[in-house]
Amino acid sequence: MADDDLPREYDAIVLGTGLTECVIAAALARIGFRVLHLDRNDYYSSEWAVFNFDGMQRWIKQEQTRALEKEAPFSSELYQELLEDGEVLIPLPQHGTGTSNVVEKVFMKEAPADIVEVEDKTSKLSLASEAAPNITSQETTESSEIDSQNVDNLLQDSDKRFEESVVSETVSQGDHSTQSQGKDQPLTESEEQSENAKIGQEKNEENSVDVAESTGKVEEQQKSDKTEPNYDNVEFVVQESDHKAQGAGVKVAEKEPKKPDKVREWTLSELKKEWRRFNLDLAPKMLYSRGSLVELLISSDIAKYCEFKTVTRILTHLNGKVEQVPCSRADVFGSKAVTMVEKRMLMKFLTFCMEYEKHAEDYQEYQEKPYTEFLKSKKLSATVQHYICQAIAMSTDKTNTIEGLRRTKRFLQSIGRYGNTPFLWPLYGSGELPQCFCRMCAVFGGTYILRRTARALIMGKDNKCVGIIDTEGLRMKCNWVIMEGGLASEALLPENSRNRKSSRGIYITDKSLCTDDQDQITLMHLPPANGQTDPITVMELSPATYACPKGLHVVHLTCQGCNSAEEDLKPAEDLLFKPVEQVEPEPTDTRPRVLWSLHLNQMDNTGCDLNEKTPENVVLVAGPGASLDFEHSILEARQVFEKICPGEEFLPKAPNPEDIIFDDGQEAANGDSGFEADVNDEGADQEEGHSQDTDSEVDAGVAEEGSEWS
Amino acid sequence: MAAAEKKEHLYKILVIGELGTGKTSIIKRYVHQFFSQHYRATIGVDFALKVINWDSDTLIRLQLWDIAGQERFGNMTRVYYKEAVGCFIVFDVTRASTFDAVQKWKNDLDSKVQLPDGSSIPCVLLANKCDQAKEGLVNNAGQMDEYCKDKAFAGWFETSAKENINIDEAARFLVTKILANEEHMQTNEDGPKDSITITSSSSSMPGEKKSCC
Repeated sequence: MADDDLPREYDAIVLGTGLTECVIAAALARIGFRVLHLDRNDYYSSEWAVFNFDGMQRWIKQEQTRALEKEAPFSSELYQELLEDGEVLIPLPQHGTGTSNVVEKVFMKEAPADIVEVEDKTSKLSLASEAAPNITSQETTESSEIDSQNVDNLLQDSDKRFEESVVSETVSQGDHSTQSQGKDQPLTESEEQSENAKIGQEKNEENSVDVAESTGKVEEQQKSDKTEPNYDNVEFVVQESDHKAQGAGVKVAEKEPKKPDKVREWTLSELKKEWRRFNLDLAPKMLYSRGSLVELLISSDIAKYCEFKTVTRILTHLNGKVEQVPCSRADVFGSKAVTMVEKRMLMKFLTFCMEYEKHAEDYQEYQEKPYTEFLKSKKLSATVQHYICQAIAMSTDKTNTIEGLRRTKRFLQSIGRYGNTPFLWPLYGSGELPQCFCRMCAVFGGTYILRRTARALIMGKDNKCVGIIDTEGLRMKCNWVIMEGGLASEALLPENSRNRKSSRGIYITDKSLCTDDQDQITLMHLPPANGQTDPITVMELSPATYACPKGLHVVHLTCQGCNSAEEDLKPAEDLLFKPVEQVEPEPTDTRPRVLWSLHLNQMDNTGCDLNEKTPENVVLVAGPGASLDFEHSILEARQVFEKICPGEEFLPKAPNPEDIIFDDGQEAANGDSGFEADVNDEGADQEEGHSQDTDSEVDAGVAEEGSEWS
Repeated sequence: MAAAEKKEHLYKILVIGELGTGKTSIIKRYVHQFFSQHYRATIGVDFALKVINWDSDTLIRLQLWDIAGQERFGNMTRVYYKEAVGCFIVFDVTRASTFDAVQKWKNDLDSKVQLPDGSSIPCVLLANKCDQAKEGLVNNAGQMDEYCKDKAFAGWFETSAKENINIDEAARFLVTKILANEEHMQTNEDGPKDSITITSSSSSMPGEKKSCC
């Protein structure tokens, strides 16, 4: 098809669409390089990808297939006629993957049990209209008095792997995974809906409406409310304004006191129906508000493609409870968890940390000793020590003082720029960010092809790569190859590159780790377990981030990989979630229940020099790694760019299209200079015409300078 | 530029379709009033802006998003589709294969962007290069109407960027559909209102300016 006029010669060919590759691709295209960017997958962002629920199911299947597939032997004869004298091929693995131990588990009933066929229809209708006002008002306890006989039969029908004979609300359904049965539900959509309605009704006594069907309904109603201002469900207004308040991060009005949330009981088919509303990241990361990625997004204006939420709270696990860590000045003042004396201590210490370098005498003798000892010497209370070490410095009792102080300062520096915590979370997931750079690359002439990669590198004389053979058998010339390290063959990789991995767990849960009446985005760290040296990172995303539909939360756990992700994360799961195997949970157990989980290990090659063995014009870059932030990736991208084009500007701001305006037939002042750009023009040419308009546009209201702790 | 009391709307409109069907020509004809046989790929800008004085108290700013280097194989990023409220799918009447691909583009569009209520965004089919000899279904207007009804296109127009045929009309038609949608639902109602755009050139994303209605 379009291959016929696809150019066969490039300045750089980039393989893989992870963040680092994308930043490099954009930076090269930006200064006029001809860039071809390939990815063997049919989605963007490689190991950094974000998927909706369907996409995630496909990814799981793909990874499991890849793990089993045998690599077809490479035969260079096939490509001989494409080679010139003296050229040889280095084959690249096609099935290799940096991901392993992918395990999906479902802890929900497959479909709503089909029990009460004969329930009268009139009450159903009335329930539907009353659903919204009642969501928050009922306890969950009686919702599952189900005829076990019936359920049993039904479950055997719908899923032979169901082994529990009695189904009550919190019964664990064990480890059956869904890969095989997902798509072909026996019920059609509309049938399913009516099933849902029935079960929603069945599960609830009288007016205690299980949210089963109603979440959808609530939204529909809200929508239709817009068009029909005269609806007369007064109670519904309360519900709606309640929602608005949450959306805006404002406390719910006092007159409508928040009752304990009724936790909806989800089934897999209900969850799948909401598949579009999930954005599940393979490698979730947060941005420091003053980190290098934020600065780059601003300086390059790529920020115009993305939207963020501030991480709203830092939690910590202390004395068996999850509580919020005060980290901004306002938080410290307002905190009820610490005494007045402790507040003063904390204030004083954090202020010191912002300029600790100036007070070397204060910490000199502790430099190499554990940070915890230094904190103790400062006569901080145990609670305050815990906050600083675990939550703010994200450290362990092994971290030394100088490192602890550095981390504390880094955390504090980013507070107050956009919010009360130092972090930003990208809407739609952090896997969205590589795509923003892809768009920039494409706008500057980069060509993108998914489902295609390099079959082999073509090596010319002097150990230089002269191009690739792509998986369609085309020869593409290039001066540089930049590729995701995970795609390289053993021959190109240093020996130690496969030693490290990260362990990740993704969980869909039925409520927040620490419920309050706002949509929170949470960061938390837990002390290392089983042989790890670094803390375990916990992120919790509310529906406000678009990570999941209303009524659910998504939790991400990340740590260094010592064993499989499942083993590595078990201690943290035990701490955070209701036990899945327990039939009757303690009524006092307020922890969230896991409805669905995915474990995986990713190769972590962020710690090694990947290019010991590569030809000089082939550059391998690392995957996401276990770190919380993007610093490694951005640093690496800059270094690679500097290596390829020393002295060139790294992602200068693109001209703003709105500077080129044609007003209803009459040309505006700017004319069309720059718009009709020649492909071979370097972007810089255009920018001259507009640079005066595009500087200085950072919104002063938001991007206020200076940390509030400085 | 606009009178202060005017209502102002900012709409992101996508222009998609196979390579060489005339997407960029259409945009340039519409926005810049010219046509060239030899345009080059548009480098360095996301979109072209067209400002329309819709009626005495409405100003509409249309961002027409061309698909840049990602077009060849239809691998669009979500960034491109995000927050679009209308779309042109362009095919070339002289090449039936470009019409065959229309369905693929429509599917990709509908899977990647929806209005807040989950419905698909209004999409107008442009049968471009109508000044030349036509090939295939486009010769039968009745069947084209049927096709559009079937595939949920808001409508279709025979256009020529070269001869300036029907381009303003098609745009006007699409804007009418978008305005009608807005009346039905407050656009972006679902959107998180407290999201942060960490840089904000005065107007880069549509969401920011939609306070008007």
